[in-house]
This record gives sequence, structure tokens and C-alpha cells, in this order.
Amino acid sequence: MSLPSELHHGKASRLAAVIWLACLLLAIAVLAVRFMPLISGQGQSPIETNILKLLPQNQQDPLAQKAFEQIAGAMEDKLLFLVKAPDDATAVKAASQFSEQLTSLDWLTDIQGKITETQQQAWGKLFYPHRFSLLTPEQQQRLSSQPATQTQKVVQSVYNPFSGVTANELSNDPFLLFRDYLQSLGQQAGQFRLDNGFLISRQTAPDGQAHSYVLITARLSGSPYSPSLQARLPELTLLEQTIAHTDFNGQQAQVLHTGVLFYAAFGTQSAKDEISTIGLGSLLGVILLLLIVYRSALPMTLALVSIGSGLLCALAACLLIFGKVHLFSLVFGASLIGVSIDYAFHYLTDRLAAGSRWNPVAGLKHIFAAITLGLITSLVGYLSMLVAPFPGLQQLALFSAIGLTGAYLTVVCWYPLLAASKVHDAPLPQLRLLNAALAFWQKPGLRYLLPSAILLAALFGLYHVHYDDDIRQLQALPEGLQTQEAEIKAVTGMGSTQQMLLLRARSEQALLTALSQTDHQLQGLKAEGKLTSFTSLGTYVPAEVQQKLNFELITQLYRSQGDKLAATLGMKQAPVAPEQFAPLTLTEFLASPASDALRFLWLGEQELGEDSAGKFASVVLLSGVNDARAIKALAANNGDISFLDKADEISSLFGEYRIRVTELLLLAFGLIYGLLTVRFGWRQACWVILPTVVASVAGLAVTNLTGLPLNLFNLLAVILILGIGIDYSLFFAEQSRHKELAGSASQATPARQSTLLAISLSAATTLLSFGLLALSHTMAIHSFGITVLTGIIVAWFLAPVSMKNLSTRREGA
Amino acid sequence: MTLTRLLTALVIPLALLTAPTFAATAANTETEQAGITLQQLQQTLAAHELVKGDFEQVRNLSMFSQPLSSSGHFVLSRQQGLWWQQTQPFPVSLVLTKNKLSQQFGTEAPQLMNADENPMVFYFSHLFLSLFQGDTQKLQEQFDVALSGDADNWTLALTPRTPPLTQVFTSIVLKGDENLDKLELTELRGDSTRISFTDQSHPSTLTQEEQSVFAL
Repeated sequence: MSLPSELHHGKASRLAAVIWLACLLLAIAVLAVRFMPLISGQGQSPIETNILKLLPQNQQDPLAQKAFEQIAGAMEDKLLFLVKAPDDATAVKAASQFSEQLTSLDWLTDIQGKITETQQQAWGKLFYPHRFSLLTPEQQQRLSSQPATQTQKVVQSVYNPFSGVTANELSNDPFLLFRDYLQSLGQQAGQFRLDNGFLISRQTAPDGQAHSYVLITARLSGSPYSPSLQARLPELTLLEQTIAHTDFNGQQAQVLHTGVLFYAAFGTQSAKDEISTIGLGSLLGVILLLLIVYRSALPMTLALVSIGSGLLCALAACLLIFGKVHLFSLVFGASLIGVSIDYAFHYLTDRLAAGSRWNPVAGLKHIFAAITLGLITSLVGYLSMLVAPFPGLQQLALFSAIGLTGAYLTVVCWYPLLAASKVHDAPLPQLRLLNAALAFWQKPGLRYLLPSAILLAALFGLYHVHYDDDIRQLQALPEGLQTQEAEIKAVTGMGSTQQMLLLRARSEQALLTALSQTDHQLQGLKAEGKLTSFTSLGTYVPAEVQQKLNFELITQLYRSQGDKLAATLGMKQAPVAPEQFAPLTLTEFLASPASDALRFLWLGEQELGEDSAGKFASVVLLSGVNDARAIKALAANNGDISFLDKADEISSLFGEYRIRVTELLLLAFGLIYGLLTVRFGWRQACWVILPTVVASVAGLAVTNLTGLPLNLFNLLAVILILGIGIDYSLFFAEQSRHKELAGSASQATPARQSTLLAISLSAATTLLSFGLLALSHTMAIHSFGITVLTGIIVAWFLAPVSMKNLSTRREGA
Repeated sequence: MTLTRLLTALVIPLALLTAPTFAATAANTETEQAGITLQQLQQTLAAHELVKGDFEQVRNLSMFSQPLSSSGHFVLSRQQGLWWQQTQPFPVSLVLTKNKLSQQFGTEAPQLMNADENPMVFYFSHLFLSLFQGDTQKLQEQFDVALSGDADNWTLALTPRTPPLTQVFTSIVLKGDENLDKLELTELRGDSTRISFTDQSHPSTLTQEEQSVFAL
């Protein structure tokens, strides 16, 4: 491989530089178009932070995907607050003040503090006209087997001053059936009651003290992932602090909160913080290194130009292709700093070593083969990831590949022009250290001994390593938010799980029947403690068949018991049986303001193929699932029911990803080895690839030492080790090959020294970037960092073994 | 989402009170007569740890051809709660404590209900407990209060201020001296319920039987 002859001519090389400049300007234009609206505060950020967007959609079941989206959509913009105080009065006072202040935040809508009269009546208004078609299962049983007990119950309730039976109620519903029906629906309310219009509950807090909790909810005016919305969060924090610092007649109150927004904002913030510390640390480290080694600002500027142009191309290309760039791709893209700068290092170190003999075009020629081969092997490594059907991996692969190519082109097209000036003759810095390191590898046997020893140790570690794909393990959630959520969950019984059943049927009525059957089964599981609660439309809208049965039972009751009731209570007129069957329809239910919060459970009629299980679908939300197997068994018994568990699904996806990445890595190693054999022959190719193989195994095995389970992100790190590690040994192999072709041993030593210096610089910058990543609190980033850290150290250390005939040619120190 | 389920489920029991609604009555402002203050009334009624006596309840509903009467004995303990022992026209024993409600018909097994399981059931029960105990502080949260008369013959008129009560009662009137003697609840359509208390005494301790009744 040699430099294309056109580049030897100044004209052609100038042309290449101009073309490349045009490409970069184009990339800048693309970015400007996308980011401009942000500056004026409009439009969505083209940077995606939702980790779920990295994952493929559920392709097997589009309906399941739709269900997830609908449920997530209904949940993600909700905020839930509990105002906590030592007594009811303080809690209500604080809640009243807090909900009032919330209305001042224009990014919140539907603030639900005090329940209005209209809201209180909405349910009554919806169900009341249909009271003769609605019965609880208990009532159905009683009315069909012993209707006389219902009469007895009415008589007792009328006398009981505590039952609250009014004349109004008695004349509209003489058998007092409706109150029990509503009561049974209300049972799900758990431990809350109304106090001055606020929902309040008195419970023992985790600290063992009894507290009063008032529930307040609100909705965001936009997506919780929107950065502009997240930026307003401090306004809310301020309100919460105001409440905490207010004195309510000598009592204190406190606001607890939960909601996707708080987690999303935390995620964005910590990602931002980490990227800026890591990015800044890496940048400062690189600048410092370059200044020390090259003793001039020019190389530093050049290096930054190549990195910058790489990132620019990658970002622009990704935005063009995917519309958005995921934060993770950006973080991973930071690895470009570690890889692409290598090309600059080799060129600049050559320039440093050449001193006054420097010829910019010859210099490029000198390293052209090595960096081109380095680029090709890296591209093979990255692009093999493109095969995977996972959008996250694809974006990542493309981002890295394009960024790398961009940086490479900058070196090839611009460096000979930009770095034409010569430097003063001076020995390479740390020459003694470099020589000592090179001499170290001349010791016979070390070439076999050291890699084998490291490999053995790593394999031993790898043997003990275990996998854990559970996504819940990967989320580093802030402790404060988690304890608040736990307390809210304990008080309200509401968790943030996204476990659900998806039911489908051929018709609306069949679906309602299926829902009520499932409800019945879930009721049983609930009684066994296998889940805490569920939310199903079946609870609210019985199938018409069932309503008809209810209607018949009720008319039967009026006929058989009406006179008896009238006689016992001395009614002027015996209650008259209803004449018209007026069932509650789903359409009516969904149109009522009362069903506002439940409407999202209905997926409605689906445009699906003829052979699909059913056209109508609805979701049953589950919470507090203690025994997922029981739920799965319920779903397995019926082809029209599926159990959906987002966390589970993501975890299994992660597992799939992990296996796929492992396969692709093996494929990439194979392809790269194939490439290397073409250039170096199979024996030498073995030596070139060996350090990277050992480094990869060691990088994975190190997780054993940290005690953390292995996950997908460790494997993603191996992609990086592959890309960078191969370069290290490649340069050694290339320069020894070059020297062999030249047949002169005298030039070998400076060349080796400059190679070792260049790869040491590159390893140092990579470690600066990823050593910091290992400090991340985000488990995924930490896993990634720790593997890269270990792998790069090993790859750098072992790289010299790829020099040809290492131990036979002794070089003086 | 589950939180909204909670919200909706919660307000359901209230809906039964409000089926057909009428405009809420105008609110009265609290007035204090020269004879007795609310604070004094509260103190008077709280003076005795135990109140025992007989009750007679008359429900005068227009749909009945004649008023519905019931009578029996009651025990009101400031600490324990209320034991409502109806003897006529049929025996029922009701025990209401802070967080439990027990109902026993004749010799049947008692039915026990827990406030924790469904606090809305206790909404009315607790309102009644506040009425019986003359807990003016608690009542003021939900009613506009007007007190008249003197310590030997006072009248406390309550006008509901917040739903759901505004949709049920026009007024609740309490009358008494050292004790609460009369309680009259008037519903929106004019139907009324009167409870009068007689033969009231103030023993210092609960009997063995009463203690076991309250120990639910």
C-alpha cells in the first residue's frame, strides 16, 4: 500500500484539500440548520436522551408496541406529589397553598389538588342512568339466591343513622343497590378519603411516625425529555422548598414527588455533567500532553482540527440519516478522540523525529500505509456492528466510522499543507524510557511468556464472570428520588412499573367479556397476594350480556320483594320495576369526562391482518406484581392475552444485543485477521492481532475484580479496544516491515522510538478519556470505561510483540 | 396513570350522595351570641368522659306514609367511640370507633368494617360522631356555624359549606344544655331526621360489658 501518486503533486494535493474543506463546510451547514432553532429556544433538541430509543421496536407484535407507546405516553407527562405533614389540618393547608402556587407554573397543566364538585359528580352522572344494569358479583349472587336479604339490608340501613341513606337516594334507588356498586368501584381508592376536597390519607411513614399525606397531581405541557422543560424544573423545586420552610401554625410540611420528568432531568443532568467533565478532562489532558511532547502549539491545533472535523462529519451524517443523535452515540463518539488522534500523532511524531530533514509529503507517505490499514481495520470493526438489527448499535457504528474517516481525511488532505514547517533537531522526549521499553521486549521468551501469562490470568477471570442483562441494574437512580418514590408507593400503592396484559378479541363486546373474565382471574391472583392491584376497563364497563343479566335480576328483585319492602318501611307506593334496559356502552364511558384517566387503556379497533387474533384491543395495567410467573401462566392459557413487561423486554433485548455483539466481534476479529494475513502473512498476522485479543479478554475479565456482572456495555467497549488496539500493533508491524524492505537497520531504532512514542501518546489520551468514564455513576458508562481502561493498557503494553523477528535482531539501547 | 385511577375511584362513593343535585344553600357567617361561646359549648360537651342514655329517632320522609321511629340506648365514650344499641323496632347493635365499625343484627355474627380498607364508608359515621360529641372545631371545617341561646338552652345551627354535604342537607341543628338533647337533620327536599336523647347520665367508668363491646 502506498500513497496515491497524485498526492505527490502539489496541485492535486491542494485540490484534495479544497474538496475536503467543502465537505466540512457542508457538514457545518447541516448542523447549523438543525441547531439554529434551539438558540432561539424553539424546536426539539436533535440530541436524544431517552435510553429506550436505543432499542429496536417490538417487531413481532406491532400491537404490543402500540400498547407500550400509548401507556408510556399517558404516564410520562404526569407528576405526582404528596404533601406530608404531622396532622390532617396542616397537610390540607400546605396542600392548598402548594396546589395554588403550582398554577403559577405555566408549564404545568391539569393541576389536580382540590377535587371540584363537577369532578366529584362525574362518576355519578355517568353511571346513575344505568344503575339498573350494574351489579357487583356479590350482588348478583345475593339477588339470584336470596333476594330477601337485600330487603333486610335496606330496612336496616334506613334505620341506621350512620349509613347516610337520604330520602332522595331511597326514592331513586329503593333497594340501595347503586351505593354498593359504586362502593365496590371505589374500593380501589385504598386508603384515601376526602378532606376539604383534598385526597388525604393518614399513614405510618418509613420513620415509624404517623403522617398525613395529601395527593396532588399535575401534567406537563410537553415531553419530560424536552430540555427546555427540564430547564424549568428549578422553579418547581423552589415552590417545594417554600412549603418546607413555611410555618403552618407551628407545624412543618414537606412535598414528596415522583414522575418521569424528575428521572429524565436527572439523567440529562448527570450525562451532561459526566460528558463535560470527561470531555474537558480528556481535552485538557490531550492539550497538556501535546504541549509537553511537541513543545509547540501547532501540533495541538492540528490534532484538534482532525478530531473536530471527525466529530463534525459524524454528527452531521447521523442527523441526516437518523434525524436525531442519541446521547450514547455522542459519548461513544468521544472515543474518536482516542482513535482519530492516533493518525495525527503518527504524522506529528514523524515530523518531530525527522527534525530539519522533514518533508511533509514524504512524511505522509511514510505513515500512509499504516494509518490507512488502521482505518480499514477500525472500519471493519465498527461497520460489522451495522449488521445488527438494533438502531442503537447502528447509529453508534455509523457515528464512529464516519467520525474516524473524517479525521483520517483531515490528516491525509490537510496535514501536508498545514504541517509543512520543519522543527528543530532534537531528540525525542523520554528517549531513555522509550529505549528501555523497546529493549525490554528484546529479552528472549518474553514475547511468548507475557502475553500467555496475561491471557491465562484473564481467561481465569473470565471463567468466573457472570452476565446480568437486567436493565434495572444499569440505571443509576438518585437515592433521594428513589426513597421518595418508595414512600409514595407505600402510601398510594402506585408504582411506576410498566407491566400489563394486552387483550384482544374479534368484537367490542367479546373484548369486554374477555376483560371481565380476566378481571375475575386477576382478582383471584390478587387475593393470593400475587399482585397488588390492576386497572381494567372491564371493572367499569361490563359486557352487554352481563348488563342484561343484571337488569333481569334487578327487575326480578323489584317484582318479588317490592311489596315486602314497601310494607316493612310503610312506603306510600311500592317501588316500581324499571322498564327500559339501558346498558352502559363503552362509547358512552369513553366519552365521559369521568373516564379521562382510564381512556388510554382502550386501544380500540386495530388495522391488522385478517388472520390476527382479534381486531379490538385493550390493556390491563398491573401493579405490584410479586409473581410474574402466575401472570405469565394466565396469559399462556389464552392466545388472545399477552403479558407485556417493558423492563423484562428490554433486559431480554440487552441479552440479545450482548449475544449479537459477541458474534459480531468474533466476525470482526476474523475479518481483520483475514486482512492482516494478506499484508503480513498468517504468522505475522497472528502477532499483530494477538495483543488486541489478549486485551479484549482482559478487559472483560476485569469486571470480575470489580465484582460487577458483565453486561452489554462491556462488550461495546471491546469494539473500541479492537479499533484502537489493532492500530498499536499495526504501526509496529508496519514500521518493522518498512525497515525490512529498506534493509537498513540504522533507521529502525528512531522509527521504533517514534512509533512507541506515538502509540504511548495515543494510549495516554485514550486512558484520559476512558479512565474518567470508569468513574461514572451511570453503570453502563462505568462498565464501558473499566473495560476500555484495562483493554487499552494491555493492548499498549503488548503492542511491540507484533514487530517482526523481534528477538532475533538486537537493538542497542 | 394508576394515580388517576385512584382519583377516579375515590370520588365514586361520593357520587351516590349527589345523584340529582340542587344549588347549595347560601352560607351563613359564624356568629357568637352573648349567652354562650363556641368554646364554652365545646368545653361543656367535653366535660364528661362518658355519656349514657336513651335515644329516639324519628325519620320523617315524604315517601313514607308515617314517620319511621326507632329507639334504644347509647353509650358515648370520648376515648372509645359510640355504642348505638337499637331495641325497637328490631334489635341492632352498632359500634363505631375511630377506625372500626361493627354491626350486629339480633343474634347474628357481627359484621366488622375497617376504616383503613375504605375510609369513605366512615365519612358519614365520623360526621355523626362529631355531631354527637359536639366537636365544634371539627364541624367548623365543613359547616358554617351559628350558635344561639345560653348555657342551659343552646342551639347550634350548622349549614353545610362544602360538597358532598351541600348536596344532601340544608341544615343540621343541635340543641342542648349540659348535654346534647336534640339533633335534627333536614334534607334538601324537606325530609328530616330527628334524634332526641333522654335519661342521660355520666358514669365515670365503662362497665365490663361496655368495655368488651368497644374492644373490637
